[in-house]
Amino acid sequence: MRHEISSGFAALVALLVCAVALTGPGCSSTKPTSGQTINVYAEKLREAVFANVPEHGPRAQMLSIVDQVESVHLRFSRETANFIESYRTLNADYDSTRPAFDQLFSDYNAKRIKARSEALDLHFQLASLATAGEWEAIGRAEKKLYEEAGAALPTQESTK
Amino acid sequence: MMVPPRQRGQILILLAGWLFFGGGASSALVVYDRPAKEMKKVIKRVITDADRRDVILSDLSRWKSGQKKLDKEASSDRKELLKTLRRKDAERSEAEPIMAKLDETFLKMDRNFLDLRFRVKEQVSSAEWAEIVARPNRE
Repeated sequence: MRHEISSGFAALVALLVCAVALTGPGCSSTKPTSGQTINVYAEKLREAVFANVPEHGPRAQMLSIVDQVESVHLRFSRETANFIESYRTLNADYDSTRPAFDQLFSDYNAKRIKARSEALDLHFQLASLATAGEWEAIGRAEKKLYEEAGAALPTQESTK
Repeated sequence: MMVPPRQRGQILILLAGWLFFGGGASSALVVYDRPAKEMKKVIKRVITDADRRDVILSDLSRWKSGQKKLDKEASSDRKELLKTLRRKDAERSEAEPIMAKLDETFLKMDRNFLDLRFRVKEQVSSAEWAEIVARPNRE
């Protein structure tokens, strides 16, 4: 019943984000990690669905879509991190060739376009399920998810 | 090149949102790996020969001003895209031409970024390159 305690959970996540940012090893910033930011703003999107969609059926469908949106975001975050690691390795080698870089960039862009296409599909599904009145708040929360993700600076987090 | 052990386990986990709509491969590297400002500092420190250093710094400046122009184009298209998506009645066919335009800009940015990388590399020795690409210890 995760969605039933959506509001309280979001507040708890926000608190944890602050705690982790302040106490994490090697972390001198108070900014949350990207994964945490995505979790927080996906949760806010769930809250907007909860607060604005009274009917159980469409609400459940929308919440399932938000779960998928969050998952696409997190997957693409990992893909981007992997891309940067691969770039660093290739870049460090003085003898790396241009075609090797072209391939790396092309593979990454293909992943970005795939993730974007999935995100867009989910966006249109969400919009089609909402009434005009519901969409006002839900669309705003969805836009906020993208904006906040963009506004926050990246933070380093250990994979170990 | 050896990566310092304390950095080995660290990886940038990035924010995906803006990258869907805001930038391509080179944008991710410029924002999250090494900003141009930092690159300039490293070049000034590592390349002691004034002539070569000036050529590289001038290449870097030229790339930066081109990047600024492309950033402006992308920013305007991104705003238009997000505005379109905010409308409930928006169709996918309205978003697609804007995304195609953005992808074209990102491709130009990627090409310019790699052109710069290879121009710089051609002007430095392998020892200098190793110093240029070495990651500072960000404990």
